[in-house]
Amino acid sequence: MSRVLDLVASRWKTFVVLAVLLPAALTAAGSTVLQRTQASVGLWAQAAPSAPQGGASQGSESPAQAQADTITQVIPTTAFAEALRQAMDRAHIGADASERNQLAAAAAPQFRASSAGSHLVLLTYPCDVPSTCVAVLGAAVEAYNQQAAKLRATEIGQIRTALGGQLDDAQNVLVQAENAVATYVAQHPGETPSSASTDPQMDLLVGQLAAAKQQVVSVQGKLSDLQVAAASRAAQGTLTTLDPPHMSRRAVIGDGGIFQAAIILVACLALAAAYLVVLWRLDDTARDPRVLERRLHVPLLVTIPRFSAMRRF
Amino acid sequence: MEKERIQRLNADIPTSLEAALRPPQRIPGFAPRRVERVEVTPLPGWFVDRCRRIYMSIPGGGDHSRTIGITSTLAGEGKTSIALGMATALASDTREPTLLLECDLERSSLARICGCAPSPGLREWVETESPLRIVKSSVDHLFIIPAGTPPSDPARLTWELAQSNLVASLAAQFRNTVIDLPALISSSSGSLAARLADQLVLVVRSATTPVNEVERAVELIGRERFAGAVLNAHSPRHLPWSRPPQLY
Repeated sequence: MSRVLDLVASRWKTFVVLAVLLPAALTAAGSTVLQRTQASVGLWAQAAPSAPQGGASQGSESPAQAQADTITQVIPTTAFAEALRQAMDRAHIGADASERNQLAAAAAPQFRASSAGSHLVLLTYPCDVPSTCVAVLGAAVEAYNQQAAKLRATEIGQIRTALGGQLDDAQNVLVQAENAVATYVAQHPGETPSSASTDPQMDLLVGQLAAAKQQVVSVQGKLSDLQVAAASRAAQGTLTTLDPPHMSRRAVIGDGGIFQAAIILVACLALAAAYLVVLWRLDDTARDPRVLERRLHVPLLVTIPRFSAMRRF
Repeated sequence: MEKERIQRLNADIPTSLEAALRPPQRIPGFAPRRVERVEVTPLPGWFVDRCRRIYMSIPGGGDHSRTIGITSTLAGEGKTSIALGMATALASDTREPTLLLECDLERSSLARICGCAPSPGLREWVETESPLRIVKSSVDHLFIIPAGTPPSDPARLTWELAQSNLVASLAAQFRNTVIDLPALISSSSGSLAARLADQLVLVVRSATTPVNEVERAVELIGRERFAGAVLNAHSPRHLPWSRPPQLY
């Protein structure tokens, strides 16, 4: 330990440079030089995309978190890449179709979605040409909204088809029940289709008729609710652009200044430690009286402490 | 030719010593002869005490005079300061005539330390056969012979010095002779000058001198010639909560 302290003390200026000045300089340089430009857009999520009806989110996830998760899952799909390419076509981004194809293929994996609050979603896209970055990000938002709308339409279409089948069945049952009542009335003149009838057969037929009508009304109600829900989700599920696409800067290393400074500091301390180890291995100067005596095989008569006053000589 | 010159040098030694140690009596009616005397800057007591431990650790002395050479591996390791400290301690303790002879002709610094004129010195005595200058210091019983101005060929002068009877003649007059020798590795005349002393003390500067160089110097001269080593400018560091290392 004494030797290590001695080495550090004898080259303290170098260690100050390595452990203090270099990290400070690199951190300062990192805050200006080691940064990348990126386009970012702020999106407002009214509701979670998977929420059945407006407002409420599932579990503990906020609408923004749910939307960010959905975006992260949608972005790598080929359908999104195709939608992005089409949106870029419409926005005339890039010189020609082949460039747009390349841009769309290269851009898709680079989008990053993150929540910045309960409803705010930040979508970023790192690149070096500001105009292209902003345009591609705008096209990405449009493509995502299209994809989301398509997903919603598909989902609602499936439900509607299912409910339509139920309505048809219910209507068929109703027609059969009406026919059965009409046939029974024709065969038994004097009987009227009423729930107050004393004829048990008539009473049964009237009951079946009422149940069939109730089933038809119920399915029709579900279909109406579906229409309302579809309209509501179309309005709430779409991401609204709150902060238009614009350019910003971000650190190359890590997510922020402190993290980056910590990484630089650790790297510089490791460098200083490596330098110390090298010094330790290479240093062969006489420091320890016992080591000197052992290696020289000559008795050590005395050690004389450092005598700074002797400098005047 | 060279032999004759060395013989002349040897013949001059008693006269020089006589003049330095026993100045002529004052002649009535004439001004007293001026004896050169220098004020040596007082060394700190702890430093002289450390140097005292060096000579006390070296066997010898008694009825015989002793000649101790202070040398080092490289230049600038502090041998002149230690030689001065040791000579001061010897002169003060034994109260016997003690001489500090500076033989480091390449890097002479004793005159600067003592505040006396650097020349004439040993070099001038060897080269020009001028009288040997022996300076009395402010420390009782301590005399100094400075090296003089640096020569262009120190190795040749050192060889001539070794051929002369100077050290033996000095030893006859001074009970203690401390010789400030050149560095063994970095000086061309180091190993030659080392022959002048009976016993050698090797000064090693802490955290500066590579141990393998010190080993080389010891092997060059011969381990048996060394009375011991001194670790100079030693400042062992320790953590605040740990026990400070012991000094030798």
